[in-house]
Amino acid sequence: MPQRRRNLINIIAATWVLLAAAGDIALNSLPLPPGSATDIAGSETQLIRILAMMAWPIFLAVVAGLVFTLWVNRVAPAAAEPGAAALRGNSRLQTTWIASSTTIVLGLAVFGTITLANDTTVPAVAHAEPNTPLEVQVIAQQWYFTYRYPSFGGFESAHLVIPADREIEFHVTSLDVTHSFWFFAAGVKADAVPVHDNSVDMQPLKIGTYRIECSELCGIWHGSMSDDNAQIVSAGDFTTWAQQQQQLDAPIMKYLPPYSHTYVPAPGVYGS
Amino acid sequence: MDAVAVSYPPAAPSSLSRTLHKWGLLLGVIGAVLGFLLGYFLGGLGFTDTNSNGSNIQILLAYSLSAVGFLAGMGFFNRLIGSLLGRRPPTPADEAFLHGEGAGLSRYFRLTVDHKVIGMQYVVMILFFLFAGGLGAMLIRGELLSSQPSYVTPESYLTLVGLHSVIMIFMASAAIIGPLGNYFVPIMIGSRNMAFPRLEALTFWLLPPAGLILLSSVLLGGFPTGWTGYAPLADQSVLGMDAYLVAFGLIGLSIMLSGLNMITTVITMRAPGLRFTKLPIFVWGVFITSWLGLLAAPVLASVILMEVFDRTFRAALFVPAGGGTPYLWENLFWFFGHPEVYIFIIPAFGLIMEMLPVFTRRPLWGYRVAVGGMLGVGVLSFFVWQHHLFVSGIAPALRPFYMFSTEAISVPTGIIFLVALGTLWRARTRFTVPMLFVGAFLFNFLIGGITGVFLSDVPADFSLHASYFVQAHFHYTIMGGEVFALVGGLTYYLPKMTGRKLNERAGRRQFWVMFIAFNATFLCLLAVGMLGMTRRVISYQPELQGLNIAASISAFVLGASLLFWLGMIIWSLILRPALATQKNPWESLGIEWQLPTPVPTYNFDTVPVAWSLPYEYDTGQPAAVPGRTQPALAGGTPT
Amino acid sequence: MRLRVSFLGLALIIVGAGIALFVTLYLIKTPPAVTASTTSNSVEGLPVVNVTLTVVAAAGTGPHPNWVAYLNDNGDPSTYIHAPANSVIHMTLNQQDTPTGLRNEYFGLVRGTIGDSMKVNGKTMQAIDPTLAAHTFTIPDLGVSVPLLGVDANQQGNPPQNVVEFDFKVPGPGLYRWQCFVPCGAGTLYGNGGPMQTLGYMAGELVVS
Repeated sequence: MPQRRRNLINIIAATWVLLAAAGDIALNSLPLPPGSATDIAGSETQLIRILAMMAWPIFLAVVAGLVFTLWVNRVAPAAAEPGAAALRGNSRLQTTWIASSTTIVLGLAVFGTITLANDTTVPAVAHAEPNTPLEVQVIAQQWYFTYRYPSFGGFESAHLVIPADREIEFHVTSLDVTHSFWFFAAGVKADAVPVHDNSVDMQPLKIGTYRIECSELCGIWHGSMSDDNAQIVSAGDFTTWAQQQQQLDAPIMKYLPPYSHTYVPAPGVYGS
Repeated sequence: MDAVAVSYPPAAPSSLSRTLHKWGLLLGVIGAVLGFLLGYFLGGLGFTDTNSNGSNIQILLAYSLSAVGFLAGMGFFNRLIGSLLGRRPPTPADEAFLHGEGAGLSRYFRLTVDHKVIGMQYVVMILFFLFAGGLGAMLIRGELLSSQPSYVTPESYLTLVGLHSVIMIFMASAAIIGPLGNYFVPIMIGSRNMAFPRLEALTFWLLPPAGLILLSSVLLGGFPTGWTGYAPLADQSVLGMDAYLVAFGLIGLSIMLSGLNMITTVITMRAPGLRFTKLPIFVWGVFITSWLGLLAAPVLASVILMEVFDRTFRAALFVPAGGGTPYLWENLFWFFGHPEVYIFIIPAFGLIMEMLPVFTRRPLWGYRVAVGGMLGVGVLSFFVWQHHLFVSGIAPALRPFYMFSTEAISVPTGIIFLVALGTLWRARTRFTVPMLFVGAFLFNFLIGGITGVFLSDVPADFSLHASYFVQAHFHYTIMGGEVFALVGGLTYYLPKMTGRKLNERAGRRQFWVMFIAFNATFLCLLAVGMLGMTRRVISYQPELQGLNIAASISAFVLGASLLFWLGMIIWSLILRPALATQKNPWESLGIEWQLPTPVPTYNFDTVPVAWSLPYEYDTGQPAAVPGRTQPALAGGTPT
Repeated sequence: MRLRVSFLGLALIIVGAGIALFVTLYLIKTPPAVTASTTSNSVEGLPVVNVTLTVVAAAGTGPHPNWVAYLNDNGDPSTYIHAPANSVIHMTLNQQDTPTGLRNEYFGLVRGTIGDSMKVNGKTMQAIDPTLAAHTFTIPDLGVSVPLLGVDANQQGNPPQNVVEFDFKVPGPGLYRWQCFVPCGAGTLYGNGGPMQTLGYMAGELVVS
């Protein structure tokens, strides 16, 4: 190989290392979505970060390889270049490529499975009092989310307020068509399917006001079925709020059906 | 066939049959209208109380019978009716007429069984779908300039999104197999025509009714479900939903039949000496895709029929309170839906790998591995569909399995990249316009594939599912992959199909604008999705408006570049034709390029011999020797 | 022959443009509006405007004469309510439809109005029996939700109606969606199709300027 080409390859390799490292360092320190407002959001962010840090050097390498070979060896479109033989040394390169891509991919899948398992089992970690998970039912209907709190008498509210001090167990269901409860900052997404209970656990970590959206097409107001007022509050604020809501709901409490994980829609399924 | 030779009087050309065929399009339109009226009347005889506050059964019957009427008018049942009426069997002269001999331009507007004519018809239809869907895209991006509803109302917006996506699905399901597969696969295997020529014509002629029926849903109130038609919502929708169901059913039928035809053709009609190990990689791509089409499209047809029953007869297959479940729709639809997207991309893989050796003047590196890669992708595509249901509440234990299978599908896809890179490495590459599109395909699909890996990871999918990240991912793979391959492939093959070449300089400029605008648009949308914007929404968080505006402006530029390309086609092919003086302007070794332009009516006079892989650029040996060919038969005009 | 082809191309372009025009016009429809009439009252320092709507079981006019609808003063189905910013709307609804019943009983509670209550035929109420609701007047983004009592079979009047009145505050300029939460789209799945998904009937907007 001529020296000039070897130098060029060295330069490109060095550039790749620099850009890949710079990109990875940036990805490591940038705040990536969805953030760390809850424990599963944190682990999802970490997973996305790892995926991005692996994807970036691979992407760069393929693009660099493409650009290098196309640029260095370019000829005019009508050039009368004679045909050339194929590149030699097939099987080892092919085997290496297939083996390494399979390893990366299986490794990612294993890592993803472990993360998933961690996210979906309730950890046996002792929290400060109280340490029983708070069950919150998310009722999706066309076209609004309402929330029921069984441990506070089953009152229903139009906005989500949850305490930051304990595990929250969402039970998502729908009263009509399929919706999807997406609490972006919390890393929670669960489809709301009629007469079906979809359950997700998470531990909130950061107090604040967040956005909830519906992420399954459900009709005309699907895009408007969002709420910018979901709140994670302190335990004391939560108890105050819950008591206020119970008072506000007093006139309707006698009409609400008993709390259940799914509700068979009434009146008649096909309208009257 | 009779054992006893029956002699018929000398074959007089049947003027009735020919007249019916010549006027096929007009008769087809009349048949469509009559069928519509008949269906409407028949449906009105039955009960009218249905799910959607209007009569489904009338509309369904009206649309279905109008499609049948259209096909009848075009002449698809003529032989059947003729034999039922005891008319004599078709003579060679009739077959020649049906093949379009001596017919000039009019053979493109009627039932013609010449696969080349059908290929050109597909070009026009695919371009129509592309630009009709593209209009929808421009309207959508225009609306999303504002984070609140602006000039589109919320209900129209959903129909707009639905129309854009369904039209593009129709386009993508046949974008490469339709024009290029139908045109070149018989030539590449040394055959005169496809195995089932009239079936091939049918797969094309199903598209115009499907497209028109879908567009007519606007008159019936539109449909709010997007292209996925999710079940409980679909049950609830107004009559426009039935238009979607019938149109999609027709397309499913077209995919199935096209698959059947291609498989049979490739298996049974290869020239002697052309073994599977010497098939051009493009034919392999089309062949593998056809299996996917044949096996997956029937599931679509079934689930559409189920939805028809749900809507029309309250079958409650998808309604929990009636004993059904929405999961049934989701699973069946995506069992079709996932192979469907591989139907989009595998022919593109084949096309790209077919063009690479021509412009690198090297044999395709790792041909067998490439075939294995496409095969792997095709087989695995049937085992990954539940990754669309990760957050839908399926049994948690299922998720790791589908995560593994979906991650695994990136391995055979990576093999395609390996083959491309190996072919390109140290090759003296000619940078023609098609080659630019090949390069862009590789870049775009790399991003598309990597974002797919993000989505296949379940915990990451919790954040990314149903967001613009998914939307950008599939636009990178389908548009950045298949549409770029389509544009490059048409630029490559149009000189052979029409004898005219697109302007090279204009093509380069158009390419760069398209490539940069495309990436600008969808990188912004990747970001917007990561930041939490849901798909198919008309109003979104105001904080994301800046990125949306950037994406919209880039999208307008992208649309303009595609319109420019359409203008180039009209200019170079019709208005100021630039005749391609050589029959093989790209100096390809493929057998299709060894034939004269225009390709003779029956392709080959004698079966080609001495087959080899069309990539022997080191020795310069063409794929086969076409044998003596006569010029196009008298009366046939250059297209 | 080139002339023929050019003609064909031109025809296609014209057809295409026609289709584009039709689609665009379809998207940009301006529905009939409900305007607020100003008064000289004020509540809590904000000017009061009156809006009156009649809720009927069948619209009688327009493209869907047998759909449930809210009619404005002209008798046209309309749910595009125009109101000035930073005001208080005094809503009067002449509810003439029979009960369908709420799917989510929680919407039987009056929320978001001044005093968290409404007046039904002059009587102040804070909630109604959800099975007797005919419709609701709900603007989710403002937290306003008022159930509308259905007309009893034995009720007197010509036509029999329940007059529902309430006040609520209107904030700064913007577009706030409006919908009914009773599944009153008869004949559609879950009662939420048809008029429930058509602007001008059971779906609408509060346009604040």
